[in-house]
Amino acid sequence: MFTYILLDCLSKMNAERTVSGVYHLLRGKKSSQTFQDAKVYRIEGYYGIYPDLQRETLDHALHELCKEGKTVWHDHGRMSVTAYGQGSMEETHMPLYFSGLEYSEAVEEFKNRLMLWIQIISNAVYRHAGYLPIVDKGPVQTWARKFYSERKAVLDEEAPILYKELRALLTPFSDTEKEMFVRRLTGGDRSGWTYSQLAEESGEPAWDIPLYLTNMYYYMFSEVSSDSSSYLYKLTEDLVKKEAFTSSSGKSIALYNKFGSIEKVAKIRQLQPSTIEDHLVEAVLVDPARNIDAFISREGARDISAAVRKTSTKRLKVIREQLNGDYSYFQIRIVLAKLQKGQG
Amino acid sequence: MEPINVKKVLEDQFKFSEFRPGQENVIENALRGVDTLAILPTGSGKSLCYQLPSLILPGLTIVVSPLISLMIDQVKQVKAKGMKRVAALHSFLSPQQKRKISGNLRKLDLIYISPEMLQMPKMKSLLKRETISLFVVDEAHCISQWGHEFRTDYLKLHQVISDLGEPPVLALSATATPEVQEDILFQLGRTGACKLIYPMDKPNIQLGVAEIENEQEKRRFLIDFLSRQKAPAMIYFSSRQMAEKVSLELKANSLGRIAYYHGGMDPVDRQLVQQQFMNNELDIVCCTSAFGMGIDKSDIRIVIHYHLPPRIESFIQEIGRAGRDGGECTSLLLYAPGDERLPQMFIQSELPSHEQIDAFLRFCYANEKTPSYEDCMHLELSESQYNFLIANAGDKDFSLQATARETADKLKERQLLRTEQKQNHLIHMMEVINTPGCRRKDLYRHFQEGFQTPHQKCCDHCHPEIFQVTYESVKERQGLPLWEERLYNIFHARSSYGQ
Ligand SMILES: Nc1ncnc2c1ncn2[C@@H]1O[C@H](COP(=O)(O)OP(=O)(O)OP(=O)(O)O)[C@@H](O)[C@H]1O
Ligand SMILES: [Mg+2]
Ligand SMILES: [Zn+2]
Ligand SMILES: [Zn+2]
Repeated sequence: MFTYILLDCLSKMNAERTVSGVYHLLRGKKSSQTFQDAKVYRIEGYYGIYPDLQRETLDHALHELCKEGKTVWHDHGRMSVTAYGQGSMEETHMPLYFSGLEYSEAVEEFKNRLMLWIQIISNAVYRHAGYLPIVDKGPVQTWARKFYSERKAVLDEEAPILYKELRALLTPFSDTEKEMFVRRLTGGDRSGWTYSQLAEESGEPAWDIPLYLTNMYYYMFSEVSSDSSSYLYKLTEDLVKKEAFTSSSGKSIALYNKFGSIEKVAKIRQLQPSTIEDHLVEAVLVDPARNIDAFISREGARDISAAVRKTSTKRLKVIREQLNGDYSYFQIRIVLAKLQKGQG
Repeated sequence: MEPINVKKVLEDQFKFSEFRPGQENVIENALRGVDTLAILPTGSGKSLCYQLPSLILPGLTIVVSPLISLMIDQVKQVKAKGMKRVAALHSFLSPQQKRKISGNLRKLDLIYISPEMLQMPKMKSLLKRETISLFVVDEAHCISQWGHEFRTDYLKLHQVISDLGEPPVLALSATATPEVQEDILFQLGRTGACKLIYPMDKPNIQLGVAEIENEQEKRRFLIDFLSRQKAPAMIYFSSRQMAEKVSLELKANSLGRIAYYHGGMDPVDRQLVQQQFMNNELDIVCCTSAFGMGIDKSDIRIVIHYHLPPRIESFIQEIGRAGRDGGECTSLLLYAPGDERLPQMFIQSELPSHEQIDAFLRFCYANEKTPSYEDCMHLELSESQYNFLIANAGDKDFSLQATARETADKLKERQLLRTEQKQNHLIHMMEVINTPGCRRKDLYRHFQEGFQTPHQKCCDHCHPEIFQVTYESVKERQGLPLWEERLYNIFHARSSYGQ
């Protein structure tokens, strides 16, 4: 699954970004650049789906892909997918449920809550007291304590309900995935398994295991969060879709809307004007209907669109050269942001 | 022409050692390009009758099938057998997928197309460029208003066939009375076709009708009967709510792995239930008639009708899901006095009332055109009522106001006739219930003379002990994957899995 996702990202990015872009995307880096790449190249589903990804793991996987002839390196750390690589993607395609840009945080939280809650309810059924919670994150534990105190009297009745629901939620997955999911869980009767144990048992590559599980949690999250009659709905109720832009961008955009000057906003926020420009590009990405006349003339926008079509790239440098350096990078980026809907 | 060894194709490609009765003759006709109507019993292998020839015939074989899910399943199965030059064209595909298939027609041996796709001028012109070796109409009774699954789309097939240059036609059905058989050929413009009619009774099925006092007793009887069974079973209901309700009750009685299936469910859920049943992850499916056509699970041992089917053809079609492997199976119909009232009500709701006929025609003549179903939403017609109106008046010229009166009279006359026919179908069904004699004899006598000797017991009148039958084909749950047991154990302290 990991290599499939890498190939998908690389082929959509069309060697216009370095492989670090993929790394930041999968880890869900909170930066305007990552956010824009996700949108412009339509790989937003993958945003933040692999927060624990190590750089070595990525490099290793890319090395493998290259060795197998599925990708080739270009200069400056860019990589593109070969025809053979494209073909191999079609073969290994499987249902993916990721919608990371919107839900990576919510699903991460949901996953932790569910794992912890299963442990709590199972230990209650087994009448075990005094065990180590498998999730040690503060907010998740706080949530669990509250949830527990509301229903400690009915855990015995709820256990079979949760069991049935999970069982049903697992139906669309292969036996290997179900096995992985269930073995990962910690209950009153045994401990969950590590990723490497799971990899060993399933024969799948270790770097795929977290992705398999995350993919299942995305599926489950979307199933139960949209069904208020489900038991697990209660775990998702307060988890919301991510804000359209980062909070820093939100502030800049609001200030810009008020004062209409990049310099002024930069001064107020004590940031570089280029950062404010980033935020404004983000605003257009989120709302392509947004007016950009203040940044570029209609004619200029037409020139830039024409150059984009002609060079059929999203690489700023190439586009700028095509236009003989007549427009700034910011102007090109904002037009590209506006064009995003009509492309791909 | 060199004689083709069809037997060899059967063995090599389909991995079957012998033809089933009828298959060889139908295939021979198809290969010779003879227009044919073939009636073979449910589950007897009608699909093979065109799949095999499609491999041999030089051009394209087109199959029209009434249900998209049926087409998709068949393509999957055929591909699993190693036939690669097969595709299905239907409205669930994305435009790209459609383009990809229709652009590659020449590379195909066999294509399944939904009737509405065939109507599209673009599709027709693409197909016209191909050599069509065989035009197959599966579930051909759908073309007849006297049949039990009438579809207006099917009526236009005659036109399509002639637009495609009159290729040889093969019409297939399992449930067509002689009257419907004639109508099929008439509607297809093939009255001279060769008829290959095989006995449609299934000698491997035992027929039981249990007469039961009331609803509550029905439930008790059902639970008692199913508690003695460990085999794949289907239970048919005429209402969605009842299918759901009873499935819950059976589950509460721990009668195995049970699910319900009906047309009101999410398509993904429906697909999942079907898959689970096919993969033996379910023992019992409580369903409406939406679950049936195209379900080709070989080892279903029991089909139960909780409600009275409205006509014999539907009943035969539904019990045809059982014993497709040729092994023993049982049909059980639960009848309580007054059960015929439900199908009576359906008959009324299926046909438009005289008031609805008048309102519909007023609308048509006011707009001077034949309205789509969406156009006349405000008339609150059911789909079957609408279909009736279109089938009987859809081709009228509604700009000729003077004909209004005449059209109305004709429609009303038709409506009376159809109501009477439907009543008759119900009466025939009731005859099977009320007969003091052999039920088999009554069930098949409208289709054919006599019937084959049953392999085991015949019916509950010939062999009252058939209610005691038990099936044990499902193994104890050892075969389940480990994850299931493991998940169970997380939430249940005593290791009681499978008990
Ligand atoms: N000659 C044969 N030998 C053994 N099995 C066969 C043979 N021909 C077909 N079958 C099998 O019989 C089953 C039923 O076939 P099929 O679905 O074509 O039946 P059908 O007549 O179309 O039934 P229905 O009326 O329900 O549509 C299939 O699983 C098929 O593989
Ligand atoms: Mg069939
Ligand atoms: Zn009769
Ligand atoms: Zn009998």
